[in-house]
Amino acid sequence: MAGALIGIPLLPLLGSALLLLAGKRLGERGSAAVGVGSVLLAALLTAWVIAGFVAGGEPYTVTLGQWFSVAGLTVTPGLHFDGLAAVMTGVITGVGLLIHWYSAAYMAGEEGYSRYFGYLNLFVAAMLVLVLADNFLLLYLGWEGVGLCSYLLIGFWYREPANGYAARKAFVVTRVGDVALAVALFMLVGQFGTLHIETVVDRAWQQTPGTHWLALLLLIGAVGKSAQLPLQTWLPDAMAGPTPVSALIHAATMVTAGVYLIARSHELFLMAPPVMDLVALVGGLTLFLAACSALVQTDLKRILAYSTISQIGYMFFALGTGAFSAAVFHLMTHAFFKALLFLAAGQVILSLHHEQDIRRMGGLARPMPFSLACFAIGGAALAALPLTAGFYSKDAILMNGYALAGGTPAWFLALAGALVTALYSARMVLRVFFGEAVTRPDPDRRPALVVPLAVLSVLSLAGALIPRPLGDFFADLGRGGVPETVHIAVLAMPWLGLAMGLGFWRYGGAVRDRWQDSALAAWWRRGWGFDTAYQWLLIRPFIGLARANRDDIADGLTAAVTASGRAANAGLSALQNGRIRWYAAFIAAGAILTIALVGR
Amino acid sequence: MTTAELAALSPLVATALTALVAMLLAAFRRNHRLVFWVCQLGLLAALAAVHACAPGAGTSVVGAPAAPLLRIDNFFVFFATLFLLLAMAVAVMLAQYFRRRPECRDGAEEAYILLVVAALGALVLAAADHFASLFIGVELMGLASIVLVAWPSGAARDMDRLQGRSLEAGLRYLILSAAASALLLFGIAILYLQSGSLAFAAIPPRQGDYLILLGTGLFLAGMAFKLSVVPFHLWTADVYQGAPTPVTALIATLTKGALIAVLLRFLAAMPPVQTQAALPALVVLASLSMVVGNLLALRQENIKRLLAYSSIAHMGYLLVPVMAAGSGQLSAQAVAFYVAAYTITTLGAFSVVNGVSEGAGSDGYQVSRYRGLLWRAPWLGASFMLILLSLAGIPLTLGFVGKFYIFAAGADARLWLPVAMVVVGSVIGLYYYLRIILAMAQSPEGGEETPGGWRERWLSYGLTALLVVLGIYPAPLVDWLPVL
Repeated sequence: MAGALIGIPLLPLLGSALLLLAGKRLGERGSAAVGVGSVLLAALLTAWVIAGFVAGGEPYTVTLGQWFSVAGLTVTPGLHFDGLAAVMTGVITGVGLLIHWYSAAYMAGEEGYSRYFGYLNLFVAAMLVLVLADNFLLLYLGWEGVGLCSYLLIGFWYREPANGYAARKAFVVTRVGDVALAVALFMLVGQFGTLHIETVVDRAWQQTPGTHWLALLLLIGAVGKSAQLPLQTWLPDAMAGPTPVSALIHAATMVTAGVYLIARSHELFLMAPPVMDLVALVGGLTLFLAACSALVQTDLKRILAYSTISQIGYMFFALGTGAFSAAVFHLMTHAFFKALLFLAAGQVILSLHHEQDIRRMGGLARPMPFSLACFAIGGAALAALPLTAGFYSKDAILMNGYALAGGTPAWFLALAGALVTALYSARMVLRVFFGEAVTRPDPDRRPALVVPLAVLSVLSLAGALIPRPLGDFFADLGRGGVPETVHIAVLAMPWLGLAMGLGFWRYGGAVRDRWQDSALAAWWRRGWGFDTAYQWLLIRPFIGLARANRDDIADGLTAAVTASGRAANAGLSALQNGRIRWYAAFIAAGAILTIALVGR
Repeated sequence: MTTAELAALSPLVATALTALVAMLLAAFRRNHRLVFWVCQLGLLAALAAVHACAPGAGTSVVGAPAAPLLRIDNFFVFFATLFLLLAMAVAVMLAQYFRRRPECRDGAEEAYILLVVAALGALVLAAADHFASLFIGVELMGLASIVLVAWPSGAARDMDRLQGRSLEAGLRYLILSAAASALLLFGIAILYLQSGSLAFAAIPPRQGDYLILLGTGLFLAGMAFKLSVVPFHLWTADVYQGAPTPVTALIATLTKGALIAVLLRFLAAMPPVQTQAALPALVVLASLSMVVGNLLALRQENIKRLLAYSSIAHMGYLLVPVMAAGSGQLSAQAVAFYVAAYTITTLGAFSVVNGVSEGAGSDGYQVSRYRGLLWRAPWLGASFMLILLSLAGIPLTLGFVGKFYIFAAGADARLWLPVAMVVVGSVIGLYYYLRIILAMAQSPEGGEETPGGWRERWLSYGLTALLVVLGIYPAPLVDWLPVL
């Protein structure tokens, strides 16, 4: 079992090394075989390991050996497998496999095919290290690894300067969170003298002072990676990458790393109730604001991006209220249906010759019924309509959230968000597939595209039935009752949103147009002006500062030293004029000086 | 004179006899090779005498016990050994110089003899504990080196120009040196007026005696000139540049080392009150030397002038432990170690210059001449690089250990301003040493040949090996340091 566990991240890593070093020689077929094959093997291994874990039921750790030992800090990283790791590895390798498979066809004929799979495999390896690490330092390695792959893949089509800008933006913004996480690690070493996750979490119960700060820093780290308020601005731009990348990294897996981090160290957060409330509030605000933005986007992928931010907001809300297992549940179902939506969107975009604007879509139901089915299933799951996987997980979040924390503002935001979610899901499906056809599609029905979509559709519907072997990983929090009216409201919201969407679609043409042109809609479309605010508050002052300091002010000091040295050299050299009279005069002056100083 | 006194004097007698024998030989048969070997053997005999006849740890004095002319102690043994070895090395450099410049060989015998006389003066200074012996030592050494500075004689093609420059340098040295000797003598006379004795220790410990202060001031001014300390430094670069390279090496090392030794002995023997009174002057002179010397070297393109300015700065460094005299044993040890380190390193530098620049024409002394040396002559270049790093005081060289001793002695005596100036000076100094190394590392332009083989270079390699070995493992030298 131990070997198998090490093999899970190792296989994609080897695949990546092979692809990046010898990709050119492998050709397209070979690259696809290595890229998909390594993840397939990892997925099979994962299945075997999970099966063994479910049968045995005991978490276990495989130590990889000592990394370093310095100044009282000894780091012996290992891989730890338990219920949470089982869910995460299952999602990463499972969804990852389907997306690799899809990519093999989607990226066919692209320049840098093997580079693409090299990065993608590296991402899977890093993500697996992140979720399997038993040590915060190893986790940080994976954390930075996925950040790097995200950067590389957003800027995959690097010839377009805008893509490079988006990649840099994603890297820099997430770095804010990464720094906070690094500081948290330093604090952990200071307070506990270890980075071993289990030890830290065990000792967290002893109420050490500073736990609040620690939890806050971890939260900032999670917020950066998971694109939550106020660091969410990078994710919509990250859609510049290839669509399967958006599906894997910026929807299903990497962006949920923050959720995983908080879930992994939830005991620490439970020791800091104010931070827990903050987590819930961040989640509530994010999910609502992002859902509103999704409502007015015109780019299909940006709708999905804002939707992702919003859904991760739900997970944060759940974490903040203490409904940890509901958060992990939603993480899993969201991975299924959001991957489905992205991949289906990819198929649509491919069929429309890389058209992403939904205003130029419409009437695709007839030529592309399979895509419609995928979108309908994914949209229904996103809107949390009954009988879909999304329904169960979102229901769990809202119900548990109310039971644990009551009707807080964050909870009402989450409830309202459910309505908006259904509304924008309906708008998206209707705008793309119904109404008048604007562009003639060229449907792409390659099986490599179709099979993963079919599998993900099934998972989006029945994914809730997959058992999650979390056991008693999350401490059971006492819960209050939930009034019947609350339950009805929760159940009614998606339907209400759907009805509103259908109503606007059929009868509200004029209202719709005026709304789309309104200033409020424009504001939402720009993501509530966060980018503009950062532009004015941070970027411009920084650039101004950099401009002002173009000739490095500190350099002036050293330059002054050099200049004065040269001046002194020139002045003193002038005294060396070779005249004996002058020299003798100097001796006389020196003698007088010496006598004066001695006589002092 | 007792037998013990005679035995203690034997190194000086041996050196003087060497000069006499060599002079007689030259009178009968002019053969510079013969004179070279006689001088080397004589110096070697003197070296043997230093260790055979000098009392181990004890002290024997020559002259009246109350006011000894010479004091033969382990301080003398250390410096005498150093100076004799130094003279032998300079003799080798002279031989190499004459081999490269046959036109200057006419009368080469006298050069070796003058070298031995200068060494004798240095030995006297290392033992001097009395103004009379001090003055004899200073003048023996000074007059010999004046003649050497004006050396190139004979009638070769470019002799006129070469000799003109050397002669000018010698004359300049003579005139200014005479002025400084006058200051020195005047100071000694005033001190004698107040103490009635010429012994260092006889200066009365009276505070605020203006005549004593005046005498000390004049004495220090005279010494400062000979040590080429700022503001008495103006002659240094011209003389260094004008003199033949081996002679430059001699006045940069032997003269400076001997004067520092006697100055230390003087300051240590004087009553503490008078030493304290001299301190401000020494602090100012040392600080000025460190800063001005390094600044002058900053953009110097002539390697001999550059080394001249560098030596001014090094004299400034050396004055720091000297002024700590009387405040502990560390002072004498630091001075002894630094003089040894400076001597080995500077000799190494001039022996490289002697090999690379001499006979290379008028622009031979330009720094540009060293461009690409690390590629053209890797061993010689590497050796010069190590020598320069040692001059800059970079760790793993002798220069670093020496500078460490200076810091230790300065901090021990709480001389914070001079110690801070050592730091400032070292930082500035690094620039021009690295500038030469940079030039050596650049790709050579054209097919400039670097003349000389092992015969020309073994001295440079030997000195480099010494400064690296002792820089890494200084214990043998440290164990041998004298106490005053």
